[in-house]
Amino acid sequence: MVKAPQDFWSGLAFLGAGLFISISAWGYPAGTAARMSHGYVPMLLGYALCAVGAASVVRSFLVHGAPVSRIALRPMLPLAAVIAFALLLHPAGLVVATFALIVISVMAADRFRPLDILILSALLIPFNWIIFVRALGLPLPLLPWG
Amino acid sequence: MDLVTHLAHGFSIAVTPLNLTYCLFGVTLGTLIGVLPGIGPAATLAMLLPMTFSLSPVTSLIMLAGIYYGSQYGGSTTAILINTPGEASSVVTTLDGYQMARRGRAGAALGVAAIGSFAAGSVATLVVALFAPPLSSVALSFGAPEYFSLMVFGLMGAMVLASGSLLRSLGMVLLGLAVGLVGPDINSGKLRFTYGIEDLFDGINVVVVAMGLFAFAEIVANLEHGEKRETFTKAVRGLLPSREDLKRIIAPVLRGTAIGSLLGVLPGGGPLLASFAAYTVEKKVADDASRFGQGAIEGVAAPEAANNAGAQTSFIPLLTLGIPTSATMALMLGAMTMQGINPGPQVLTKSPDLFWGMIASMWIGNAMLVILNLPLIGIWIRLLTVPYRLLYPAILVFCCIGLTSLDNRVFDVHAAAVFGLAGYLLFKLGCEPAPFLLGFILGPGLEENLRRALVLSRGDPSVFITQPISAALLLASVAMLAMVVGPAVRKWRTEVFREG
Repeated sequence: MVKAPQDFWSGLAFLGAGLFISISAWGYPAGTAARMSHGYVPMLLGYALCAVGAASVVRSFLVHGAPVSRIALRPMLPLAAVIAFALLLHPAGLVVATFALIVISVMAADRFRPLDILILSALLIPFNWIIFVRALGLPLPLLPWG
Repeated sequence: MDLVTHLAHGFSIAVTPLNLTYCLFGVTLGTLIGVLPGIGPAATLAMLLPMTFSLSPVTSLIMLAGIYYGSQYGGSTTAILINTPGEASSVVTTLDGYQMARRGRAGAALGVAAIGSFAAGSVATLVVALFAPPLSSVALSFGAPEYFSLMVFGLMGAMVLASGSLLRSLGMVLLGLAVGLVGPDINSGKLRFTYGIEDLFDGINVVVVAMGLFAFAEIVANLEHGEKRETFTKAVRGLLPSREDLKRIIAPVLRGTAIGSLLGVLPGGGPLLASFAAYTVEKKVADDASRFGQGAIEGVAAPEAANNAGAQTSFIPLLTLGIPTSATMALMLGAMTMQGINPGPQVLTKSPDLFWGMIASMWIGNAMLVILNLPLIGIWIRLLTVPYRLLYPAILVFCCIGLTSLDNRVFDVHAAAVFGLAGYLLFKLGCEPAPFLLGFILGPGLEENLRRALVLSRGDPSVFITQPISAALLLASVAMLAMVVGPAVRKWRTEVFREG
């Protein structure tokens, strides 16, 4: 029985990452300790990560530890908002991308408040234009295909 | 005297109108993000880094440093008034600071925090000026084995002093080291871990990692907890502490400064640990320990002095050895590298303007902070009424624009989102992001020095224990580990035996 879910799952994550790194590192020449090639250190890191992961998994069966709280999806909306910004910036420009980011990220709050979208858009879109595009001269497209 | 000439030179650089302006901008922004819970100095530094490319190295570092120690001042305001640390390092201040506020002494608590921080900041600045030059001349003689062991020591400190499980911190360090190697190998230029993705051919920028882990992941974690705040902003008056208060805090401020200056230098130490240690010491030396937690003025003065002193002296290892001791210092190192300055002992000799200018600016910045935090306290209090639900979308917008302008591509925004997701999931599993970021920033240096040391010793690893300085550093690392693992192993054994 798993007694420490945090140790168990983080152990699996480290083990997975360690295996991935080790396998990638096998594709690079390792060389010898005296003349290391670029695969040597990645290989060591991969093995060490596997060892840490395995130790953590073993430990999770022996010692009681903290549980993993439920992973909620709504708080992750800001990440989706950021990706939407990145996808929209070049085809649609800064104004549309910022607006999309605001709309999606506002939906992550405990309840939906349309007024927040208005307030944030009214503040941030002109601010972006004045500070980043005009004052700092960042090469950002402002409007679609602009 | 040498020190006086150097400091005078530093002041002559720090007081140019441009540098003064950016120093003021930095400390104001630092106070702002210190006051606002939910955004820390690491995320802010990451946000501003891309905007500093057009500034000179001195000016940009003066501003970035100002954000860091400015946040130490701002954090206490939130801790005292709403019982929430505005900054992680002001957690302890909530204990007695909020109690003072509840007893109608919010003004005195804020005043003591600002005065204690200023006194500590001034002394700690002098500590940096006094101790950094000799340390950096010692470090000039360091070779590859010494640097390797120094980095191991630094990473070990970050692991041992992290609050979570040691095994998980070790995993995070190793993962960070590996991610730090993405891109071209320093020696051969051969690509590693790029999997044909062209945008990875130059490696991953530290800003991308820091924004993902410290801005995006943090916002997701904050949203999950929801917002519950009880603001204590009604009656804040009488900011100047009474003469009796001042007499009472002299010794605690001095003790806090000493503890903070010392712990700030240690890897993984920094302001947070310093403030906890200072509080514990005050409780030990007090005649009546039961006053603590009930609004004891010493319980505000000492930790606030300690966290500010620690914030200043954590620049010593960065400026003299090129070793960052915290996530924020890792970003400062990133800023220096992006400005074309190689952090390490040669900074002092090659860029004395930068070194002394920054030190002088710290003193000026601390003086500005007292003014910002005492007469202007009303503005910061009003800021506390801005709800988080209006803040995080704005933070996201600024992060995205910063990321896009790093290399003029949206790939970095996507990459930061990936780090944000990974950071949130790892946070759920009890893994802290700071050891990862330190591993990430030290990865290439650790590898380079390991390889160089072993080339020189013809593959003989005993070079790390036959060189005295390297051996001492490794021994210290092992001792640090033993201190933590010792009791843990014993506890584990008793638990296992109880089960069996």
